[in-house]
Amino acid sequence: MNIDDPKLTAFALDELDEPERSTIARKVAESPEAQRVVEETLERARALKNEFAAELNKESRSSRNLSDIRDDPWFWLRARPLAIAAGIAIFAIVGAIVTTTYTRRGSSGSALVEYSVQGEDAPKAQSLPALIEPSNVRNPVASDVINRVERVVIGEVGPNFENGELRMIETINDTYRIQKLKERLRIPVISKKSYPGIARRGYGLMFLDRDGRIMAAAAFYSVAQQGFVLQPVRNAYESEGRYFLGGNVTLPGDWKNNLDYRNYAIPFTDWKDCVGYAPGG
Amino acid sequence: MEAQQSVEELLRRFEVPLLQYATRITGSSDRAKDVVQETFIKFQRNGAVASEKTATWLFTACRNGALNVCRKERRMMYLDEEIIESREDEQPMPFERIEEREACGFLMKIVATLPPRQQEVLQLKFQNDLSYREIAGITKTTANSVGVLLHTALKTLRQRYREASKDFLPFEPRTT
Repeated sequence: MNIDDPKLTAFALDELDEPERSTIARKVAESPEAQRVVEETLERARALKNEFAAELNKESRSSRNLSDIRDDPWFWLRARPLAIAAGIAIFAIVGAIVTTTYTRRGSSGSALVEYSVQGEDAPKAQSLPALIEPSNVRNPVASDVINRVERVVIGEVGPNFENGELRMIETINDTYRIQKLKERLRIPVISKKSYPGIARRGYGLMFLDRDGRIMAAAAFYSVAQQGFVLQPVRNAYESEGRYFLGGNVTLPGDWKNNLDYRNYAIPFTDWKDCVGYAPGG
Repeated sequence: MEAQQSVEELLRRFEVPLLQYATRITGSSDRAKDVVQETFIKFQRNGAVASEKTATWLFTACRNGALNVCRKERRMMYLDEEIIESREDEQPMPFERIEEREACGFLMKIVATLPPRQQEVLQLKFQNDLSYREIAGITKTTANSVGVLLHTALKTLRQRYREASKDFLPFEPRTT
């Protein structure tokens, strides 16, 4: 039999229908050369499947939000001594704090509004409590809550909306962007911002379930030296079809009272995929 | 709700394969993202639900979208079937460029030297486990043509693999 016949490859890959399959099978059984080609084809097919799968895994890993640095030798060589030094410094600051009177800042819901009166990306003098806050904290928004999100209302929040009302831009309900937003919001750890303030202009996002209940809320704005961020917001509410950031309604989540979440945010480098446009963009 | 969930499952399953497929056609991961986004939006607008033909539908729509991007940008690389065919056996990707692909398997480096059309069918067959008929539907050709392309691709791979392997000499330490 002709071993350079595409039908032999099709036979090896189980792509032939009867009666052609039986015909080729008989010819292969009679030809050691054809059997070798079939074996080689199967072997090559297995190798290709493995390599394509590895390529897929690599792509999936590279698209993750966080990379695990625990296995990185650099981390253990350089970062651990630095972390110890930072720990000592924190203890020193804490020691200084206990000698001063200190009133903890409340974590009221006016997250966006309070900062919106500042200049664009204006650096703000950090208070001592802000200095002793950890650089990374657990994202308070629970994954099971995010799972219930089916659409997202997005609107502008600017200096003329000091009550935190969103000026509606659109309701996002296409699966692709919803999925991307949910993935972004599902990040397990949120990081301290380079600057505590936010841009004068920002967007508010309301993550709604199928019944229109607010499951989570976030502000989307630009921070100096950091770029766009997504900041989970603790308080938000809906009234007569209008949406507000702030207020007294605490959204579902594991919000720690000793943390000021206004100082933390999620890097939002993929805002083009998630939303498609940006404040001031 | 169920439809929403099924679309999300499809997104999880097909997003990365489609991104790689569209990147291969457009030559740009950014454009590929736009194409894949459009593909899923179309899928949802059409009210499509998951079925046996979902993979074929998604890859077909993705391919059409990617080719449209190429047409709009007047990129000739993948412009149409005739051009794809005429590119066969010409200008394989130089090894310098292949080396730039980080952490790429040895076999994948050889795959990258194949003509685009052969790479396309290899990816659809071995990454996405599609049948000759499904690949034929996506690439607008016949199952026989898919068979010939795959056969040729595998044969070339085998030859180039052997040739490339000759460059690797076994390390035999001197014992005397």
